[in-house]
Amino acid sequence: MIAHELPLLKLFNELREAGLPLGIDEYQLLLRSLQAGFGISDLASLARLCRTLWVKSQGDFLLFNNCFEQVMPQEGSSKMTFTLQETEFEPAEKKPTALPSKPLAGASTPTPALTMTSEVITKTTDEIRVVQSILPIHSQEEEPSSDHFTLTDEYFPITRRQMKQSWRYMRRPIREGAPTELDVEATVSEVGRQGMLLEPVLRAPRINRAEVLILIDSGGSMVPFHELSRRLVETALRGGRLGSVHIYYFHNCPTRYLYFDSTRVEARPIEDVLNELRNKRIGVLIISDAGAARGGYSQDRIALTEDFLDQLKEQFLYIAWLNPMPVSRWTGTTAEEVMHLMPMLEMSRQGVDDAIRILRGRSTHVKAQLP
Amino acid sequence: MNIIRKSIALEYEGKKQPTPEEIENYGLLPYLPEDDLVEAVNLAIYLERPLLIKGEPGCGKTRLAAAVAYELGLPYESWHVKSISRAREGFYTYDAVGRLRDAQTAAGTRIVGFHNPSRYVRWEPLGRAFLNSQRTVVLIDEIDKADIDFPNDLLLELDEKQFVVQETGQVIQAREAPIIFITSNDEKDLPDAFLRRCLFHYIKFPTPERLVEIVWAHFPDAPEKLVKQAVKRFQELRDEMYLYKGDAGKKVSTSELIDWFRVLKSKREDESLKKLRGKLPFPSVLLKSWDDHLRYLKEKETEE
Repeated sequence: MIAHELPLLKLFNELREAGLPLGIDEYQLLLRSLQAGFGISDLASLARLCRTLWVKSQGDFLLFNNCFEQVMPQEGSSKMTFTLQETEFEPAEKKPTALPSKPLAGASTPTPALTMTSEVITKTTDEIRVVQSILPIHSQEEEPSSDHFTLTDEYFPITRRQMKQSWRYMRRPIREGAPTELDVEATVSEVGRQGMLLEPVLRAPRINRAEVLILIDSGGSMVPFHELSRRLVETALRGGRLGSVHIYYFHNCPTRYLYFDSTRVEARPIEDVLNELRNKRIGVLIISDAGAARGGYSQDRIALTEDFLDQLKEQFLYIAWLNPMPVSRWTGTTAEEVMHLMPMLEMSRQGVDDAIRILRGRSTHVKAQLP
Repeated sequence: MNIIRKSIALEYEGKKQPTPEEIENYGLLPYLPEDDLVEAVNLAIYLERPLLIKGEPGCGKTRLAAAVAYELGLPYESWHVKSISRAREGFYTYDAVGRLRDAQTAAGTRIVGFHNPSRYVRWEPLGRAFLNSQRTVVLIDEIDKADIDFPNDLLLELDEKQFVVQETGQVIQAREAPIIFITSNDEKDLPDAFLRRCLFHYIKFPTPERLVEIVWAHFPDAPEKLVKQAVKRFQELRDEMYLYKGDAGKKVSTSELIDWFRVLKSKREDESLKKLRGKLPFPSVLLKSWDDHLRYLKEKETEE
């Protein structure tokens, strides 16, 4: 098959570029559906078909509509005709018995050139010649829309999807709740001891009890990264199925208070927060640029940060620091000093993965390499 | 187009509704799907892919599967997922304890069944659907309640349409690909690998005209005026809620409308009509939080 011959390939590629998780399999689904007669009556039904097959969330929905409008408007009717004709040349599939050779009801007045090609197609069996006859029209169509682009909001070094995938590793399965699961080994050994089965041994099922305390630096130099930290929080809450997530905010360095919201309106003394979180296995994740965004160096800030980290280390085993600035910008700033106090990682796919590994207590030797 | 469509053996139209006797005896209920939902269902049937359905609570996600099974006259299995559900439990459960017990008692008596391990396999909804020689409609309800790995654990089985009974090594290959509907309340995101294999449809809230039709389908003998008034009052309340809560909060749903109308209908018509004009009648059917009670009951009072 030659790329130019495939129907709706442009739309498919646009959507892929926009970030929809589509593969060849999804594309073949569309072909099969078109061959079975779905979505060919008019443009709206084609859009519905593509949505059902390719769009999997409300967010993607808008993205799709946008792409569809960009790719389809002028060429809609003519492309539809192609789609139909081409189905005849699908080698692997069973041929539909009666294909309408005239344009469909919804396709309004096709151009003369097109009518001619449809005739050519129906008469010719030689694929290459068919492609050649379609090609000029296709290349004409491609031109006007070549200068558009699709706006997507995944411009950070780590996408939402990758964040979700990383959070999934944050788990600490613990058996808890009513005993409902059969413990075969214990039952068998009990039978061995008693000589007969008196009662099966049950145990509690495993559930994820991983807890995370996320401390987010907000305001000031962190303003450009608010969206990034917001997404990290959002994915932790929705995608990760963590046991529980505690979120607090601070500015530059926590001294006496932590805040409930990013605008730092409602405060709470640090001691209160720490007293409430008695479990020392809670993973603490700090998100702050540690002065790297502005490139400043402050002895005071280092001292304050060290005090706070000492306070944390007394209580928690697993602490990691994510810095939204890239490693190359840490040199000579406060961040360079802070990274010697504790594992500091940049907020990229690798960095987040490493940070979560630390929070799980797997490795504490991860260290970012300064250039 | 219709010529091609005919080659599809099964086609759902969303037209056939249960008769009053069936409603009475079998607990079946009418279901009025929108055209685009019907299209998505047919696509799922044809492509043999699970159809993932999302939408507001109470918009008829769960009821769709039974309605499809009813219209097409196919067997129906439902699996209501719990937070502790495992993927395997959808296919079969194994009574290991029962076998152990039989093995113990067999030492003295003459129970012989325990030599045959497959005696202790109990088929669950998906397992029964795979074994059935007829295409079966399967509902997997509220998949987002289970653990994050749950949907991923189902992937291979749904893809290859076969599963293995670990205890006996028996391989069960689906005789007919089941028609699978999956509902999600969107409490948690589903893994991408799983989404990739599903078709997706979002059920939108019906228009007021559609609501009238839906109420009528449930109460064919209801007086026209009452239906219209009730739907109007309901729609007002919903619009008001939308104003306050936007897309986020819980709003009154179709299923609550039907419950509410049942109460309204049980009273005399003129009495109900009179009530509809005043303060929201029978608010406990529609308003489910103290906040809502305060806000939407008070609103109407101040207007009067």
